[in-house]
Amino acid sequence: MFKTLKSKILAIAVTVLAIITFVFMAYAYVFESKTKPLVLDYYSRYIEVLKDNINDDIHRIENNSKGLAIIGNLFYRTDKSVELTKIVMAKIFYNYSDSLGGGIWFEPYVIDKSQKRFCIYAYHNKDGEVVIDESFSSEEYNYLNQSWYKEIISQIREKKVDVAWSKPYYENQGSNTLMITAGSGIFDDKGNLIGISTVDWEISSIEEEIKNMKFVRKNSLSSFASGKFIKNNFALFANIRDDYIIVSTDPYLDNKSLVGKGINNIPWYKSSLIDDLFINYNGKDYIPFVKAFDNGMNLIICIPRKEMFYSLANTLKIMVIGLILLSLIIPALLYLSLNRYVMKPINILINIANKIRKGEDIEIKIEKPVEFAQLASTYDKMTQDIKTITNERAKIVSELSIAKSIQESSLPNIFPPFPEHKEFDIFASMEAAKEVGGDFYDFFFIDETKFMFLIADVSGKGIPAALFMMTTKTLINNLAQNDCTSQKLIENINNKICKENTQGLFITMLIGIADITTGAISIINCGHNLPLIKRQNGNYEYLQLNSNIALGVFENAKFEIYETKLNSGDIIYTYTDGITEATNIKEEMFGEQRLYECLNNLDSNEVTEIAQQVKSSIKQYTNNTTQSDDITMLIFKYNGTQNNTKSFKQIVVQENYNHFYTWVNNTCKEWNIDENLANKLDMCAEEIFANVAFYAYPEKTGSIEAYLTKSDGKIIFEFKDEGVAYNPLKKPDPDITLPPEERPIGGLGIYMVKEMTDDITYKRENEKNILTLTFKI
Amino acid sequence: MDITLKRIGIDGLYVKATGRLDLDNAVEYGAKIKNFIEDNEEIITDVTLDFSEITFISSFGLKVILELYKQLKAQEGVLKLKDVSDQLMNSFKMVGFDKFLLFV
Repeated sequence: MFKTLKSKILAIAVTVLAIITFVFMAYAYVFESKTKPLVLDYYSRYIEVLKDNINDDIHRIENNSKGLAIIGNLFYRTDKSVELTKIVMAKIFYNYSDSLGGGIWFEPYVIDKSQKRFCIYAYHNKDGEVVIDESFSSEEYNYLNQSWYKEIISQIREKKVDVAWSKPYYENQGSNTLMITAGSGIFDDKGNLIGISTVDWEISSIEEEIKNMKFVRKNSLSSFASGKFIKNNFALFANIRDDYIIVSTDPYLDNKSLVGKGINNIPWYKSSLIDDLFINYNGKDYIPFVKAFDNGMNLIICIPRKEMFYSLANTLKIMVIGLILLSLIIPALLYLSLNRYVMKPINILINIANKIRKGEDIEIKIEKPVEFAQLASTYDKMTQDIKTITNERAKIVSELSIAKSIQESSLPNIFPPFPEHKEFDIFASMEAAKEVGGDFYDFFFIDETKFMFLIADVSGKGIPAALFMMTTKTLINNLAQNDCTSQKLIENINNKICKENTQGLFITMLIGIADITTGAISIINCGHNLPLIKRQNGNYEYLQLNSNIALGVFENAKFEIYETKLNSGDIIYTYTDGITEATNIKEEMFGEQRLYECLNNLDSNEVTEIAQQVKSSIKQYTNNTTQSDDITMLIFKYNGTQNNTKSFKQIVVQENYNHFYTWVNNTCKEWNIDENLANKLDMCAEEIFANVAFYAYPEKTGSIEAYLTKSDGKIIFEFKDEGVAYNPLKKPDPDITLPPEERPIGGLGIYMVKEMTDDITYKRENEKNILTLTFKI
Repeated sequence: MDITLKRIGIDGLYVKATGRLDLDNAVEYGAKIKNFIEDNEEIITDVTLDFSEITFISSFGLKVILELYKQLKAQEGVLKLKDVSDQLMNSFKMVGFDKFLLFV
């Protein structure tokens, strides 16, 4: 996941956006919780202002009512001058501009014993003038029976209040308006209630005031000013204490008919309203603001919660949507720009790199962005450089492979190198770690009997080591041809190497100089790995030589020479540290102990087999890890000087036959040839001898030559005579199935010879009959 | 070569030789036996050849044995070969003589 650059950057962008969103959400939550009370407070104060206005109205009307009560009192206590009182009323009432009307009303017969009702009423006409109307004392109207009168006077009487309010009522005299009336008591000297003053308050004016109240919807979080008004808010103006409705603007109710009715007609009203955070009414949430007046009236404004917090919710909504859009757009933009400015150039560069790898010719074209253009031009340059380097390298590689083949051909690699010398077997191999190695081996005859072999490791690897090795090999070969002692030879070699060594290289070397006729051998160890020696029928053992200094280090160094004698079957195994230091996967070295065990577990004493088995042992151990050093070995096996061919030559006459078979029998004994084969050889010898004796030299006497040769698993019996050409193999075989009576007496000899040999050949060469018999052992 | 010939009963001959029956001796061996049979007054029909001391037999030896066999056969006699070593037996077998010679 997120492996590509693109996905990584996108992941980072998305993560950052997610963090921003989260932080914003948290902020919004805090903001909202802090802002809500502010909003509530705002509306609350707004409504408070309205309440104050209404409260002012109430107080004014109540004061007016009290004022009229004083006038009524004055009127009663003084001379009851109606005209004066009318004038005063008119004057005073003129200032009560917001009252529809007002008056003083007396209890029955208080003013005039003859007149049950007495009142003075003043009101504002349409032009704003004050009109005094006395008609309300009429029998027809009978204010004493009007609800407002009864309500007010009973309240004043019972509750002893300064000002009492009537329930809303229709004034059915004239204006026919819906109103509410405040009244105060008029008392005589003894404190008896003798009448009331009233001031009318037109409900429509209250309603208007309430309706005119508009709440500005807050549109921005920072400012409350301007914007639209809140819709769907409604109000209830009611006297809670006395349980009647004055004004209701509830859009779901028939408000007109509710005026004066009990508050229980308002479905949403609850006494707990003042404590409630909101009410749910007709599926909408409203926040009620309750303002109470002293006289038991209450103004309740219900504002839809949605409207109220509209701007807050709206702002949050816009911000959330904005963020979501941002979180879509920013990654998209990032993705597009990444693709265009980063991924595309990268893909181009990848394609180019692939082409370069395949060796195709390329042209790099990136102009934008600048960074990639620079990279591209660097690429271009690099490609040119790579091409040059590759060509040079190819040249070097081909030169190296030439060097390798030269080096390989410089080491003797045809085995057996001296097939005519049965006295010893030798096998050597080198597997270079790099193209050319620093290891080498060599062997050659110094003179007719002295055979020199060596194995060496030049310090360092590669070309310098290889060149040094070639020089050294040549000079050793040259120096060895000079007739001198082993001691002198090694000193000469060392001195010469020291002289030619300008690079500070040195060589460890193990040299063996063997006399193949006697088996005497000189071994010189110049700082090299100890060889192993296997004595006839014994085990391989490390030959504990004293090590001399490596060659090429000190001029005129002295060398200790180890002298020993090899017997037939002895094997010397030499190697370089590439074998003991071959490592496996665990970096563990093959080591001398493993080599020792490996050699002693071999099932062959053949030099090529030994090399093969050791190599496969190492391969198995290293298990195909990279070969770190040259693996070189040289195996020398001494066979001794046994004479493998016995010869016999005498005049071929019967008198000599016993010499002949004695020679055959002795040879068989000497070679430990088993009885059966010895018998065969005896029989064949007789037959050929007789043949030659009787038929080869019809006119003279001649000689017979016989050679018995023992070699790998067979005995070769060769006969030569200088008699007449005769190929005995052409003689037809006798029929040995015939009954004895019919069988000829002779003719069995050659048949038997053919029967007994594994191979028989005849040739005529240099006037000689040569018959060669081969027997498998 | 030591060759000992011994009469056994009226018509029997026992021959014991030591050494090789080869180019050098076979003819002498054969001749001695042949002469003995021919020189004898009685007719020899039962010849036993003791091979226990014979170390080698070549084609010349085999030839002599075949001649003896034929001679005795003609006289309706019997040729017996006694104590033939395995080594020599191989030679007899090689030429098919084992098919008719009597080995005891």
